[in-house]
Formats: sequence, C-alpha cells, structure tokens
Amino acid sequence: MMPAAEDTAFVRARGASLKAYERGRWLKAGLHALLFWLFAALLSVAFVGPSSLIWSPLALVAWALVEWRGMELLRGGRVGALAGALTLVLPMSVLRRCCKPGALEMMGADCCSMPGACAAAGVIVGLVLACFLPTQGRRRDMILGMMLGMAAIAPMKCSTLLVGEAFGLLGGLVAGALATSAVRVFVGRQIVRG
Amino acid sequence: MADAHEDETNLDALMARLADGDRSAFDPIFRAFHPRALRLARLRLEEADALDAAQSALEKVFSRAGEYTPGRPVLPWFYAVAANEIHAVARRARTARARTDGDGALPDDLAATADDPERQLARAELEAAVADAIKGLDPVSASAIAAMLGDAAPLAPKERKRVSRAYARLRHLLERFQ
Repeated sequence: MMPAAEDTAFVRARGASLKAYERGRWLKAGLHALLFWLFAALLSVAFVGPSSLIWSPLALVAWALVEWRGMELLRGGRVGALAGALTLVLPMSVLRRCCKPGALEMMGADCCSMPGACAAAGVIVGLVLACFLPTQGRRRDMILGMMLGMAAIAPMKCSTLLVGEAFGLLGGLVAGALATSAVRVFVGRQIVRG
Repeated sequence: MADAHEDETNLDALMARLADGDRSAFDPIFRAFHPRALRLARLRLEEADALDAAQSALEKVFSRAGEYTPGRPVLPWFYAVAANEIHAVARRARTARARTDGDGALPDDLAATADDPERQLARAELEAAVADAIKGLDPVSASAIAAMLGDAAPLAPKERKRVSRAYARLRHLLERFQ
C-alpha cells in the first residue's frame, strides 16, 4: 500500500512521463521526417523536376505521422515509401505505356495525365505491395502505413493526379489483400484435407 | 533469483515494444520503473526532492525510449539515464540551496542527511553494502558504477556498455545481501 503522497506522485509522474514519451516520439519523428523529406525532394528534383516540389510537404507530414505512431504503420510505411521511390525513379513510359515517345500522337496528347492511367499504375503497385502484407496481426495498420508511405513520395511523379493515383492504390491494396487472404485460406484448407 | 531474471527479460521485451511505438507497454514499464527511480533518488536526496527527482528521471527515460536498442538489457540503460538525471537534479538543488541559504545554511553533506534516524540507518546500511560490493569489482567496473551512482562525473554514452557489464557483476555480488 503506497502512502498518499507517493500515490499522488505516482499519478503525477505517470502523466508527465506519458507526455514526455509522446514528445520524444514526435521529436524523433520530426527529425526522421526532415531527413526523409530531404531525400524525397532530392529524388524528385533529380528525376521529375523542380515543379514536383509542390507536393514535398506531404512527404514531411505523412512520414512524421508514420514515424510517430510506429509499429505496423511504420513497417507498412517503409514498404510503401520504397515502392513510391521506385515509381519516382522509373521512367514514365515504364509505368504508363502511352507515355512512350511517339505513342502520344496515337493515343491522344493527354494520355500521360489521365487519372485512369494513374489509377491502373496504382492498382499494379497495390497488388505488388499486398504480397508484403503479414498473414496475421494488424493488417489494417500495415495497409494504411503502405498508403501513407506511398502517398508521401509517389505524388511527386503524378503531381496533378494525386486523387486518381490514391484511389488506384487503395483499390489495388484491398484487392491484393483479399486475393492473398483467399489464396492462403484455400491453400490452408487443402493442406488440412491432405 | 530466477523470477528476477524472468522479470528483467519481460521488461526487455516490453521496452522493445514501447520503443517500437506500442503504447500498451507503457503502463507495465512505468509500474516497474517508478519504484526503482524513487529508490535511486532517495539514495541521494531528501524525501521531498526525491519525488520530484524521480519524476524528472522518469520523464527523461521515457522521452528517450526511442533510443533504446531492442535485445539489450533495459535495466542498465534505465539506471544510467535515471542516475544521470538524478545527479543533475541533485546538483541543481545544491546550487539553488547554496544561493538561497547564504552563510547560515548547513553544509551540503549535512543537509542531505537531515532525515529521520531510521531512514539514515537504512541508507547507511545500504551504502555500506554497495561500497563492500564495489570493492569486489575490478577498478574499471568500480569507476563505472561510481559514475552511475553519481559519485563521479556523469557517463558518456560510450561508457554505458561498460556500466551494463559492471551492473551485472555488482548484482551478482549483492545477491548475498538480499
């Protein structure tokens, strides 16, 4: 049994420690987000151009949030950011066939900026990312983290079509997660029967 | 002793989860750290100051939770951070007291022991036990533990590994006092 003064001190110290913990996490998250932002900005200037920097604050905010929460959100964020960085580095013609030089005349000059094209790329990336989802645990947090990680860096490539790409990515992630779950359940049942 | 080891292993796992961002590990860790911080603060400070110093030490420990390396023992890390903070609080308190009291004040060492006789006796016994145990350590470990207890200069980050090893040896030597 704790004396009253010690009991009060315990409650007071708990509140102060929890605040200090969150403050420490924000500080660390802010520092890491700043480094991430710098890396993303350099990458986008080198591979897309200075105009893409308009979306760079999103990298700062999204990465600070992901780092602050940690756990599955951060793990998913890392995978998403890696995928986002890959889409940033890859030439446009790899992600969207119609962006190939010479293809524009055939498919219409605005093909490169069609939301549908961005969404299709998002679905493909989403399906690939879904392969990295864990079989158990907080899959929802992991998916959210992947989306935040992706949203932190990929929009710089498709700077005018953030919404289209984001919906494509969401659809791809959900479809991929459902598909991988269904395959795992099916394989699991076959093993039990066998 | 096996239970204590199990507790420490459990604490290591909980601290790794907290460092990863798992907030559900905060309360069990806090319940384990609070009495330890309080005991450490009471070794150096009066009761009223010890409560504040323990809180300050815990704030420091939790604000640096993200720096904890999973897989390493958490208690030496905790004691190193907490002891540094309590050392700093004690130094600040001494400086403040010296400023406000002026010439009529008690000397610092007497002021620090201005406490009830029972507590003084318990503290003297504990300090004697620790001093005896420290004598059994090699000079490098002894100086690391002295730094941790605030009898020497605060620890540099690179010295904390040495403290970790010295702490394990000291714990082994102190087993006979339990």
